[in-house]
Amino acid sequence: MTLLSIIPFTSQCISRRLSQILIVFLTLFARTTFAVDLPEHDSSATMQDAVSDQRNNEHDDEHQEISQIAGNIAKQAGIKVAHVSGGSIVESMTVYGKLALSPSGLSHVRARFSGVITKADAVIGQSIKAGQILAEVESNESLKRYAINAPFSGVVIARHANVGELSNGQILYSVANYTQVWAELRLFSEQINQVKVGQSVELKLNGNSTTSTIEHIMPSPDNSPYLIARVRVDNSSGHWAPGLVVKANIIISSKQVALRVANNAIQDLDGNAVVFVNQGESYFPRIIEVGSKNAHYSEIKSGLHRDEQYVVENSYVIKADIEKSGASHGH
Amino acid sequence: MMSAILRISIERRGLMMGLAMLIIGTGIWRYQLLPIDAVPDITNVQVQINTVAPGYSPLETEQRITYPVETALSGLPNLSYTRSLSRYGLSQVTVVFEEGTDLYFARNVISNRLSSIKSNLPQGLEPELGPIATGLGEIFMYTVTAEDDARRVDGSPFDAMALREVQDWIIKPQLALVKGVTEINAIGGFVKQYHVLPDPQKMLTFGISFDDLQQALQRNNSNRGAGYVERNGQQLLVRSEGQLATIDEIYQLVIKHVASTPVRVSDVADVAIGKELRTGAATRDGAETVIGTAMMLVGENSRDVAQGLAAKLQSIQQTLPEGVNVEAVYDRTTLVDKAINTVQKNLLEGALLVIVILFLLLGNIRAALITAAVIPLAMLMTITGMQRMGVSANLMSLGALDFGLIVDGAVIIVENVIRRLSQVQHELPLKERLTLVYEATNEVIRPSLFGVIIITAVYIPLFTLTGVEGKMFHPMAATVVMALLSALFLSVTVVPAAIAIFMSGKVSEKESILILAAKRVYQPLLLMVLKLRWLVLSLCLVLLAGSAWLATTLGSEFVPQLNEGDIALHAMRIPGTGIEQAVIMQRQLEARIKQFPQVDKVFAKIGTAEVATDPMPPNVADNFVMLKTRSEWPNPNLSQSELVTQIETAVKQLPGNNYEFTQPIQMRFNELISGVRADLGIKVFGDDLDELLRVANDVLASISALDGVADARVEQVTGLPVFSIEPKRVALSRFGLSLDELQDIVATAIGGADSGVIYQGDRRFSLVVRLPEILRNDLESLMNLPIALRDGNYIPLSEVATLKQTETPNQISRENGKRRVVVSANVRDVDLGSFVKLAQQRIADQVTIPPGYWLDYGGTFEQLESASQRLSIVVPITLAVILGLLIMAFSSVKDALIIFSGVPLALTGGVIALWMRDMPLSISAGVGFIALSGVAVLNGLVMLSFIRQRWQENHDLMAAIIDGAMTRLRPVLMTALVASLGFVPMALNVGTGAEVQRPLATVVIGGIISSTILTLLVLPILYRLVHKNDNNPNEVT
Repeated sequence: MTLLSIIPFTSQCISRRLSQILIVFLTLFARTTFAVDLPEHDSSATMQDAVSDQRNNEHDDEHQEISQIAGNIAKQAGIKVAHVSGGSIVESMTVYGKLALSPSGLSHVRARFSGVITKADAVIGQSIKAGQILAEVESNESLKRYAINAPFSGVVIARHANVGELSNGQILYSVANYTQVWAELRLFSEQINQVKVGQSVELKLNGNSTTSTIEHIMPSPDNSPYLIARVRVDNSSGHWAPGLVVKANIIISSKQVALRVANNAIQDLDGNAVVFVNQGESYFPRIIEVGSKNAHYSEIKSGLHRDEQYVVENSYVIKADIEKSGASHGH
Repeated sequence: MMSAILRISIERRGLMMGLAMLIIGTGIWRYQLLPIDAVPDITNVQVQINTVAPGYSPLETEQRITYPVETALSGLPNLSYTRSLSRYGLSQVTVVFEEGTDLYFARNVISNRLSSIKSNLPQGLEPELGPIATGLGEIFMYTVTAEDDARRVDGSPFDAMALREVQDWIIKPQLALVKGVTEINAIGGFVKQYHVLPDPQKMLTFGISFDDLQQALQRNNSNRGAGYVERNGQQLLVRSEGQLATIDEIYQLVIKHVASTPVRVSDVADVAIGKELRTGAATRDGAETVIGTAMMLVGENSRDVAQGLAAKLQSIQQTLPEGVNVEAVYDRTTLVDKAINTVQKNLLEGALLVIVILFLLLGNIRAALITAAVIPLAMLMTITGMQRMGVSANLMSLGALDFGLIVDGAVIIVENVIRRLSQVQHELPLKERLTLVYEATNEVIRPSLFGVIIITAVYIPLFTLTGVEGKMFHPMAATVVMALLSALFLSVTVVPAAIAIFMSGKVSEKESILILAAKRVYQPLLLMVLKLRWLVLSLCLVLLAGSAWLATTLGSEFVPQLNEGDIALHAMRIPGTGIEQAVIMQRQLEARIKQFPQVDKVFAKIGTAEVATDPMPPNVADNFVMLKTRSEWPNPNLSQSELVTQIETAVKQLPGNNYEFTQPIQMRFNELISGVRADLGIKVFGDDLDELLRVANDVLASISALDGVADARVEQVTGLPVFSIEPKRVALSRFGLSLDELQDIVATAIGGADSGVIYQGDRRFSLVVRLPEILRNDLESLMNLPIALRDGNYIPLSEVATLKQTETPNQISRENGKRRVVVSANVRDVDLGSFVKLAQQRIADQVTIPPGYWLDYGGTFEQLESASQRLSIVVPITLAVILGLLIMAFSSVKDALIIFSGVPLALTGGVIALWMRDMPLSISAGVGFIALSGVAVLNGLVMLSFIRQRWQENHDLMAAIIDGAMTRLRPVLMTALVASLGFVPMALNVGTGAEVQRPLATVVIGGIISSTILTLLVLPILYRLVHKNDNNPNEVT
């Protein structure tokens, strides 16, 4: 048999029946073998489907925003709760300003009657007491010597007088009293409204701090775009040298509120500020209205009741749990 | 021609033996060079262009970086498409090229284009090409940890930053040298920086601005060479040193003079070693760590590279500070070894089984050995071919090799020669023996040739698959075809030569007991079925119909997933989750997973690594769960999927995480291929994000109502919370500030400004000016930050800017240069094609798409549709070709069809076997069916050609049928038995990777059993029915 030779097959061989069988075989073969290519997902997709199924469900139940966390797991996750309670809320604002000498604490001492300076013992930096003699001048008119006394206790900060010179109305000594200086805090337009005379201020400089109150608020002397709040500072310690810049926290409000929560309890959920209320193993978001707030606490105007348990620490975990339907890989 | 080859082979038999030796030698040599991996590489030809843009929000990243880069790439040669991702601080453009494009060529053209657009990008930003690696590239990961009592030189404990320093400057430079490594990618810990942390109050005191500070640092930190001088014949180099080296030196730097007093850095700022603003973190077993990932260069042998890395890591351990440990946590070698073991075991056991069967059925040990020798020879030839063609050895490529099938051709030849030799009954002289061998071989050479060619031909449809399927199955088809062709070559050259040499002496062909027993059963059975022919035929038809129905009830999957033996899972948190928060949540997750006794190690990468091969936001963590060996499990029989379910249930209890379970390699492939993974993806293209989102939501609404839709959703693009510091332009100008100055101040204060480099030997660290942590974290009070004016005055930030909390897109995806939002949906219980048409119709009716916006339909449905369309054309053509070959061989359509009837009958067995083992239909099973049809045809061919020959000889149809069938019982049984037993180990193996091969083997075994029974019984019936009216066989000789 020559298998490779092609002999034209006789027409009777190709009966209709046989060709039908051929077609049946062909289609059957194709179907059974490759039916597989039609509707399938690979296993990873199925896994994904399962996840997204769940996501979908969660998405559908958006109104039912609640997080269920077992006690021990919540503990591991660092979720801590506290009771809603009242307390004080102190609001403060940070501003800066320069220390300046008290205007009443600086005296440029001159001689009342012109004459020759006969004695000038006080030296720069010397501490002097009120009435202590700084210099002596021999009056041109009476030719009598008279003493120039310190107007108040303080430090000699400048000396222009030397023995033998004529005083002629010039400044002989400058005496400054540093026991009290003033902080001139600059208040800019955004800050002005909140600051009033009488508010207490915490001043900070190089690790020292002191408290005082705002005594005056006045425009800046040279038409600069700020106001100056003046605060008296006790400088008996000597740390508060004029010319230095101090940082000041002005207490702009301090009040007792009926309800307050720690700031880290507040999260943003769908554009609303919420606090998560804990009941057993369930955590509900509660939309709240915040009143005044400071660095640690916020006043709750509505949305919470006294003694409700709310999540203080790791409240983000609850937010994440509620919103996790949106968490996807994003490739 | 065949006869000529045969004659030469037998005459020059010594030469043929030499040829065999040559094949062995080449094969062994090539085996050393053959790339070995666990799975085929399904990554497309792609190049990633990453641009790290610290501080850029997604919108800015897109506008300033992604867009110019994308535009530059248009019109590249062989470009398939581009897609891009703009995230916080990172732009990633992925350029995908046509299949077959040379990766280095692609990278080259991209580099050229990029260098020309550098001036269009914001200053200081440098687009970089991703590592030259594929989805299989992440072959090795290690962690750097410190013992609790380990101390640094200065006595402080090793923290995350110190560990990162060890990684970056001790481990990485050494590992990067290992051959075949293209990148060492670090994540976790903190990159060390020198921070200058100014106190705003002090700056105000001296009237120093951020800019003054920055300038002072930049201008006082360099060395300069000044040529050389010659003195007394000696050349002396001159240099001026001024580099800052220590924190003290930085402190002493003079910024400016105030009233002739120098103001030093120490007067206004603290200097300290600080942490970068990191984009990624790493954890292991619930603690922070540093993870290094070694990426393998494209085309390297992953096993060799991973072994090299492991060895290098051992030696690096010696060089590390006391108490710091580096430990490999993921090593591809493990998986590759396991997978290759599985394959080797399957192949070896299969080969042994084949040899045993051959011996039992041939009853002649020499003949059995000669036939069996085809196995290693064909294997070595195949390896040579694979290496030359760049096909790597892996589960898929070696997965369809069945030695039984390979030796089929040789079996037929050897069997016939033995039969003829044994008929002679006495020892022949050499010449006569050679002639006899030649005649006997020539007698069956054509059927066996045809058989092998047909088996080869049925694999052709596999070559028409494209995309991922193509990448998975091309190597498989190529390997099988190469193996078959090798065997074919051997069976006409080496085999006859070997028979001629070794089958000397009296050939005792003991009809083995098995064959005798089979014949004793077969003869009456054959007579009986010939009588009850109509009953048998109807039974067959019923069986056929039954299995066709059965096939529709089987589940289906695409490709069985390779079980990598380890688990990977994405832990996803809500967008906007901070990296430190993510670390905290990760700790809890890992602690929980670690409680499982089966878990050896668990580690995770959070966010984006140093090299952004996988740009993840901080709210996503890639977790790797390494399992202990099964023997250490409390219940070693627990299946991995059950374990995954257990873990999933456990971790679902933890608040705030979503999970996606996968496996390490699979995860990487998904990240790289990254198309739409749902059945249907509707991409909305356009300009305005809000509008895109609106259209996408409309599309979602309109398809959600359709029957059969599942998991429909719009890709998440929004939800990144931002604090926006919005300048008041009028106020700015009133104070004489420019917008630029304001933005610089804000960026420096919060983000930090790079102000130089501090060198310590090789190590270099950035010098950064930024506000102390306590100040920069409190955004509200930051509004009080004083800003120095030119006249020496200052204003608080709140004077010139307002603070607003808003949301921005968390990422912007683009495809082919246009923004896009994807609506994806899966389809259940409905025909995918018609569903898509319906959806298109509905969307066209219901959704108004503004001008400038358009939709694009994609998703897996496309690939499925194109694959099934192509196959529905190619498969019938292939079958027709086979039929044509048969008709050619027999010059008879009737006979060809009779032989062909074996195919559907064989398929019934395959379907039943799948059903019995509860396996779904998959492409792997489909390949099994393909192989099966080849074997079925071969069986029929062997049987029919003999019956025909007999009929031609004695003109008695009935006698010819019975005689022919009886004579061919042995070869048919043999080919069937070797082919099916060769697959038995594969079908039963439970080792790593066996799940990929199991369906294929199952189908072949089941199919061959049914096909053999039916060939032996039904084929004679059909032959008789078809030919009962023909008086004479067709006159062919």
